Amino acid sequence: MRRTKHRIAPARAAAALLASLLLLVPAPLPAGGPLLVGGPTFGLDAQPFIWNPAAMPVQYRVDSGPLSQKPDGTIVIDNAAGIARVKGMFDVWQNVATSAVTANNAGPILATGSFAGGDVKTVDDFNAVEGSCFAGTQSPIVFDADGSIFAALVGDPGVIGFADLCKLNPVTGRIVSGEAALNGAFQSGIGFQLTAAEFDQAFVHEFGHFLGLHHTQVNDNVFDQVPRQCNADDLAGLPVMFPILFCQARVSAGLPPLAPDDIAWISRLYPETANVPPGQVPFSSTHGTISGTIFFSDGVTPVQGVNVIARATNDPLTPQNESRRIGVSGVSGNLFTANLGQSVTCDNPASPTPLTCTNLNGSRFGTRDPRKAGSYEIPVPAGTYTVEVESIDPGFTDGSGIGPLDPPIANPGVNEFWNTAESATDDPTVSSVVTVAAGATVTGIDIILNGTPGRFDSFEIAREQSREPLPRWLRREPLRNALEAA
Amino acid sequence: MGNSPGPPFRIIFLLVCAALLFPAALSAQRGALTRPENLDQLVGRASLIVHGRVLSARVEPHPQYANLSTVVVTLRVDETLKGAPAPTLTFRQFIWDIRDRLDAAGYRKGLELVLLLNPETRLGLRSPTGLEQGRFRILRDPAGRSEALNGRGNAGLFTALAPQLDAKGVRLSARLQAAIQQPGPRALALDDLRDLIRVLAAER
Repeated sequence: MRRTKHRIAPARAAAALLASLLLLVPAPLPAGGPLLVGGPTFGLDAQPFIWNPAAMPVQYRVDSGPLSQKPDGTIVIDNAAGIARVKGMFDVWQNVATSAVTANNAGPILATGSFAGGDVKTVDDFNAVEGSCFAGTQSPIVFDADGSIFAALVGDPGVIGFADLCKLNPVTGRIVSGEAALNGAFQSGIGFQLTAAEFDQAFVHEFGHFLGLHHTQVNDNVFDQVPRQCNADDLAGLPVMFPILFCQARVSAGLPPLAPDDIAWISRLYPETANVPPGQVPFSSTHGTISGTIFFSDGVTPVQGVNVIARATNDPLTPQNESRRIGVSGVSGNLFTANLGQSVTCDNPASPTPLTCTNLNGSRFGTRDPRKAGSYEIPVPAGTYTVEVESIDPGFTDGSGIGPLDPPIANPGVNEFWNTAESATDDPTVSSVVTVAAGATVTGIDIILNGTPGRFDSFEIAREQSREPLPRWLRREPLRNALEAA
Repeated sequence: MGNSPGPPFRIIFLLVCAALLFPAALSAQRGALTRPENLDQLVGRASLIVHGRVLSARVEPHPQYANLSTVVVTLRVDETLKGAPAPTLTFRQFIWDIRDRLDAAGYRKGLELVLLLNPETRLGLRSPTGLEQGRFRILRDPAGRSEALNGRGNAGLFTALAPQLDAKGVRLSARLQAAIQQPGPRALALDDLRDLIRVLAAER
């Protein structure tokens, strides 16, 4: 795609600066990245579900058994080492200087019901612990050392682990408890194995969900590359919260454990406000926000569910490509309910009730504020950026889903950049630069998609409207080219 | 495209190497991670493979373990590709993610699926093989043709499959050989998926 950069006209820049100064108080609503967003009847309207910032650290409890053991009972990773591994995974998030999120091992998983404490090693144990998590009593991290619990529950030897939010407070909009289960069989040295770095990065991702983060899509073009051999610039910008672990582990490539997108979003959910303790940095001193709305070609109807990426402008004086290394994404309409006015995607559709599935109430999650239907907000490090829209990869469904719509819609227009002459007939390859100051929000970065139907009807088939019916990684040519280049 | 005279071999070789070197492309049912498996592995582990439509799906606790959430799915079976045929199928799947508890893990009434199912566990629970990897949604392309896409966009479905089949002496038709030799993941024609499953199931 040709990238032509135009500087914002001085008058527009002045207006943007004025708007930024007027908006130095951080905007109240994160706009992409949160796993769940409150609605009018469940949680705080248009606010993401997060752990209570006033009650940090998040208190989790860890299994008292080994993390990994062989089928004959030989311990491969003992409990102390397992606890240290879990702490290291949480530390990846806790060590973000601009985020106030912290997590603490509150001790062993508490005895509850039929579980007398100690090693969670049977389904009875797990069932009891699960009950305490749903009750909000504790947030357990379970070590299924030999995979036997997963075998009983799932019956599939390929499940490496999971994480989940157990209980949400529908009034305060806070996460009350969460859980994770790690299948130690994948570290036992027998059968299919992950390296320690891969296993840990996988659970850093899962603990991102545990902390309230959703998947995110930046540098989707890695699917055009050879697995585990992604190029350095794309890998640097590839979030840990990308839905699929496709490239080599970040730390194995000498990169920091989190990408700019991960750092921006965990900070947006849990912004640091002080330099305390030393090393912490107020989020508003390093990051600002880009916001706007995505519209159909009519310039009026908002588009929900397309990916918006702010990419740093490249510095030609460095050998690196900053536009690939520094990218942060949001999904349009991410705060808006995915179910308003229809009964196709309601909660528990096979058993619809007035609570979970009516044309009036929609999903219990997400706001009904129509201004949010196509809006986005992207937290970015202070700097200069281009802003672009693209489809969420259609392969990202179910467990790899992104944003409010699952399965995602295809971008009803063409992929394009924002520019100062934004219209339904502008050149989609022309971009303008957005300058973001720390603590400021640049508003009005609206994109009018080119060549869309006047309005997307949710009962139509998105696939038929797609200009790109298949995602990059479902198309044959790019990967073949990459393979041949290799 | 390059002009190498032998791209298929190079591509297969590189994919095999990638498969051996790379354990990842991990993703899964919501909130979970699974190891990637190719179609032969998924079919091999499945005790039942059906093509049909969801008649109902409801979320309810496990009858014995009240804190375990499950989704009970009933399918109208149009075709049984492996295992004992029956006109309908009901199974209970363990779910953990809060979103799965809210939307019955995406088993929407009327949804057309090809499901590769593990044997039932001792707790009466049953999941697709490889979780989302063994659950194929049937879509229609713009020309109205049926295509199958699993929860990983079919990524890794044919990785190292050709040499595995060669080693077993399995012969595929030219059409199916072409289907599995596509170098990148892609939506798969439903007919190709059904025929491949039949072949892979029959060779066991």
